[in-house]
Amino acid sequence: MREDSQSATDRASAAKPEILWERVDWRVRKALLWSLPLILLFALAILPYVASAYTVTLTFLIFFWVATAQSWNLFSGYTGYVNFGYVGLVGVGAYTTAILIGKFGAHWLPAVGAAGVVTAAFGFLIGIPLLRARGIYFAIAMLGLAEGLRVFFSMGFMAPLTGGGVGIGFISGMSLEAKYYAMGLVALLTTVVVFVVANSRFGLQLLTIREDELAAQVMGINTTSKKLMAFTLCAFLTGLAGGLYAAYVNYLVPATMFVTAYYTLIPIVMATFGGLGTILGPVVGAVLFTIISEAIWARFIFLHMVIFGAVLIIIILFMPQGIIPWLQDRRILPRTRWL
Amino acid sequence: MGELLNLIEFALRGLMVGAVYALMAMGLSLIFGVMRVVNVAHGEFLMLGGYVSFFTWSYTQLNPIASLLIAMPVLFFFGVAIQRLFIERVVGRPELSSLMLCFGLSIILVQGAQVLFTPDPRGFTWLLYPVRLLGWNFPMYMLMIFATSMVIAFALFLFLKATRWGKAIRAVSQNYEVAQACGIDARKVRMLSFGCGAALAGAAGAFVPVQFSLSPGVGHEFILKSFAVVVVGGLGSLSGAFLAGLLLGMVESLITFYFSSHLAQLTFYATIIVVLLLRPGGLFGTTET
Repeated sequence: MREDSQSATDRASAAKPEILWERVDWRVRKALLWSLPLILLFALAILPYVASAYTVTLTFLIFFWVATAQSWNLFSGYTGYVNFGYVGLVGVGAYTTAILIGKFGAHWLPAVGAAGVVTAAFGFLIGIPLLRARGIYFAIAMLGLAEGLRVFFSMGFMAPLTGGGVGIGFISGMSLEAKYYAMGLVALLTTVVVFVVANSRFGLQLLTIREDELAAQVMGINTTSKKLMAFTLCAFLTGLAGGLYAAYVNYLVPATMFVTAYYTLIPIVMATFGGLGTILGPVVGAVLFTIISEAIWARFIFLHMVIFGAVLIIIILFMPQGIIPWLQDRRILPRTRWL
Repeated sequence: MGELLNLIEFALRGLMVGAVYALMAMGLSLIFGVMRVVNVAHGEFLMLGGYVSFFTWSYTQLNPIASLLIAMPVLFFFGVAIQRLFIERVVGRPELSSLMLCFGLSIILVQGAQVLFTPDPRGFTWLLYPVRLLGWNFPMYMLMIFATSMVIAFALFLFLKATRWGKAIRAVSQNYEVAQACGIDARKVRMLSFGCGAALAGAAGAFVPVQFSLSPGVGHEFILKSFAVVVVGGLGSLSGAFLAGLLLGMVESLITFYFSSHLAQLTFYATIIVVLLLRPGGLFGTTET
């Protein structure tokens, strides 16, 4: 037994694995793989008791962007259908919570749950017609949808529910800690869902659609229903995140809620930077960009979004695959669907 | 009778507004036809054209039609530069790349304009007096804008039909490989057509400060309207974009008159979705992508 493992390590060192990560001794790797996530989870769990309100709020925002970048990745990263109307899903989720709490006096927990369900139902219903549109037509239709929703929510006859263009204010009754933990759970849930999808038959089917939809159909994949499933799942997770985000904003106005340049662009930049169709990528992107933009925000308020746009262009031109696949290409990280 | 006359008057007014949509959508369609790139930043080209026209007016009092002579070349070379520097690198890559690249460009241009030109809405009045035409009164500027748009549109058709470069553009959009085999420099054609597309958006934009109010975010509304136009007219089809632009302008005007402007806006977005529901490749779509 002892000899076996000895010879195994010998052989491994003799072969000199090319991937940097695999050169690390396997015991160290195993220890790291188990301990790092646990340490991270523990640190995040005790954060509200040790850190300032500012840090907790910033981490809350990181969770929000992780959840949104990851949900965007879940649908668009795996199927290749560019969702330019993502802000619409965030908005529907946010408005559902706001209306349920503000107008019907609901508790935040069922309200946020309802936001997920309502957004999923909405995604399902609009997905049926829109997912028939291919590629660019889908992107155009989603842009139109998001803009249509903004107008719809500000229209006069919706005013009893949404407050029209004036907006809707409410008191969520959530403490900062409650928001923090709830959003943390949503971010975790989203990442776990992407992990499960990525390592399943379903995930492979989505990737096949991305690479060649016609070939996928020929192979017997019902592409429309797979796309619809992924889109509904994306809408559900986005609805949860959007619903909790509403509790953070506390006041929703169509003009500031349905801003494509913000709630659509930022998740796209984060997910693309990290690597579309990867699990860790959007998380890395979200953490990095929230912190960077927080640092930039104070100094260059006006140039903030310009920087996001420029980063998107630079990524597309020079690193279109994203940071995680980039590291995999350079043999620093192993090629596995686990990442 | 009075009802019918009202209807015709507003249809005509809509037709005149639609001419601006047609110009912009033709640029969008031209670019798509040649390089299969949906220029999401097209609305920002319109916005830049609007600022060129506005500043020309406020510094030299040149009217918007004269300022086209500045706006169109400026936007043409701007478009060529954008094509040369950015778009050329993603031509032929998956559409996700070009969509996101243009999206990034659009954000930069909007936010850059907010810093450079301030977010204040701008506009000026020009030829506001009414002119009697066919028994209705129309503001003079509307007629002038309509006539100029028609001239530009027909000049474009003529350019594509009759000139060497125009034929090259059509050849590349019809069949890229055969066009290259015939010795057409596809790179130059792409630059030319992107420039022309941007110039068309700039021309449409030059009229924005007269008809609407101009602000850095104005392109967003127009790009969605031109998406509706090209979806109805068929992406890549110039005559389709031209006719659909006029048509949707009329529909918008009538709905605004009979119902509300919110509903008119919603009609555009609903048009996109309904057309794609019935014909996922566009209403008169010849290109299945």
